[in-house]
Amino acid sequence: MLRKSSWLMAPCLAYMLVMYVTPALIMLYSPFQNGVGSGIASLGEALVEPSYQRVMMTTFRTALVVTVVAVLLGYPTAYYLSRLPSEKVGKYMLLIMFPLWTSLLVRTYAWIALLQDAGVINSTLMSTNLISNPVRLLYNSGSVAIGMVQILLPYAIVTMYSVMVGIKPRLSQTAQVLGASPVRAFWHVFFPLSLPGLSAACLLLFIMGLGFFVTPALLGGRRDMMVGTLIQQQVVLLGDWNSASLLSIMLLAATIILLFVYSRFARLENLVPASS
Amino acid sequence: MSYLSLIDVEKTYASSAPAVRNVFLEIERGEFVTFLGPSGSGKTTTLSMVAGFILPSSGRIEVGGKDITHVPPHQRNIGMVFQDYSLFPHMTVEENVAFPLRMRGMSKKNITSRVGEALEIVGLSGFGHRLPVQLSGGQQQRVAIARAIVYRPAILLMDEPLGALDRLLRDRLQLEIKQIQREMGITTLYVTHDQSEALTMSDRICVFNEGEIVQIGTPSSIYEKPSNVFVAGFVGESNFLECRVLTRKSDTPDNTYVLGFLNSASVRVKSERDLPVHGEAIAVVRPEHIRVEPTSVQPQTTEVAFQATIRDIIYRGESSSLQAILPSGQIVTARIPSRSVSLSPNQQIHLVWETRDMVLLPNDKRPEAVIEAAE
Repeated sequence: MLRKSSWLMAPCLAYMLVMYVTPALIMLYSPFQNGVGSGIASLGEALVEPSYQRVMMTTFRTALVVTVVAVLLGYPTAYYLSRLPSEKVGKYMLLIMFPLWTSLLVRTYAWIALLQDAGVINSTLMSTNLISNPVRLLYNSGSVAIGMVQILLPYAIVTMYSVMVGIKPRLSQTAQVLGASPVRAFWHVFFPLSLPGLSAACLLLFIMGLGFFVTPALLGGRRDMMVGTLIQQQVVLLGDWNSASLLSIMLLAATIILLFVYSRFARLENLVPASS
Repeated sequence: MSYLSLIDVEKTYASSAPAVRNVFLEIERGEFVTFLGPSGSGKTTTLSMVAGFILPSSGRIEVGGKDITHVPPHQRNIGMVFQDYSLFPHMTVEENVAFPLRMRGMSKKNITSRVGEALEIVGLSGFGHRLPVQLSGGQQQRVAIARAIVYRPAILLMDEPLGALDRLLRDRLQLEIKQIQREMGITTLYVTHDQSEALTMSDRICVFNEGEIVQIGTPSSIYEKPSNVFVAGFVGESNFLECRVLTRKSDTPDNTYVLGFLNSASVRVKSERDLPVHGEAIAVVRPEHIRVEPTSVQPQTTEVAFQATIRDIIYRGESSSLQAILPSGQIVTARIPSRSVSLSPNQQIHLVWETRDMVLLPNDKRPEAVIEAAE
């Protein structure tokens, strides 16, 4: 009965086919339009191009730092929520989701207002005579990381929560009555059982972090540009669609490789909260 | 000297009646004590206080004369088995059973041999490398039992351990648990709402109702001498006959009463219980003590006979349940052999039982209300 109703997905599929898959394929095809050989050759060149390599390194490093920080911040919160009775979780979840409903631009410009030379933080520090000249807080990898962490944190919490909520509280009790202190009960029982959620959150945040554009573009400096910003510059400033496409292919390949590696160790379904 | 003592233990939650109160309990070393009662009667709460999961609002819990009321669960050296098995899903059977030994810092070699012994006791040698999900419910519960006894705890707590298993398996595991418990001499507290399980396994039974222990005693004393209407209704089947105390002759050890029943003859009964003359009382008769006779048969002097009309006969396999209506309109259930072909509905009969099989109780509650609560 339900299987026969699969046509219910058709409108959505058709839309995505026309609006997402086709343009993505056209874009990915562009380096190969003068023959596959020349496409592969230019991809090879792009891979060894020092400026691209530097941008890729920055991108991976930033995504990694942001992932680690957001997961470390999110884990205790997700743990706490998962131990609450379910009827009490709702209002906390609303608070956690609230940032996601606030415009990305508003949140990013708010950080500029806070961090710039004449911003709230610098003027406060100067008025209390702790510093005499403004500290450069904006347009470096630090400001990018701060901005990205606060945007990604809700995703980290929700992903980890959805796995943790399936871990029965009874198991920790059992571990304790069997002789484990609350701390050891956590490390021997809860933590290993939460690893699927932890790894899913890491992967999700890392992949999202690789492709970030608005936050690095507005809060980041020229020296530590991320790949999203570089792609935008290739297209808008230089009109170099070919290079933009090559960079996109590299980004997509990284994502696919990560997903593949993850699927070897854990269920890909862990990445979507609804599955548990 | 008792080994485990609960002294005036009480648990109160804000804005509700006490979950548990007035619990006084003295348990000997090696004793098997069952907490029996309907759900919400406080038996699991009391067990959780012994485990250390719940802190009593007042009162003390002592083991071997030492106050453990405020000792955290992991320092109590107690074993516990839950209805949902509560095995660690990421550990193999062996790792699950080894867990309490690892927490106690035992050497690898000792752990291996102890785990092997424990798995052998529960009949699961050779299953060590499986994960809990690869086992049946009964096997999982055996692993949980092995894990709870492997470190030879002072006390074993079991919270409806067989509740999730089917009838046949339950009967077998009842015997196995009892055997393990007896061989290890381990002091055991066992929670169940299944009265036949309690009667089969226990040295003593504590019947809980509405947060209090209403009777403590051996299975036979609980069954044969229920101290109130609730126990009589909850443990085994009972007929409750309302009556009035007409006269009373005080003797030692027993008093002799003459009881008046509605629309029936008066009956002379001995009871050690003190009941006021002219007061309401309840006479309890078990269905298996009632005999069905033709109306022509006169009862012996030690017997009581009530005239009744058969309403229905329900086949139950090893026996049948006969329901008869007394002239007062009350329905009485009797257990009769399954092949009593001579009986049929609307027939006039005599229900006969020995007066010594009657238990006299004060009429403190409507028995129907109690039976409904128990169900």
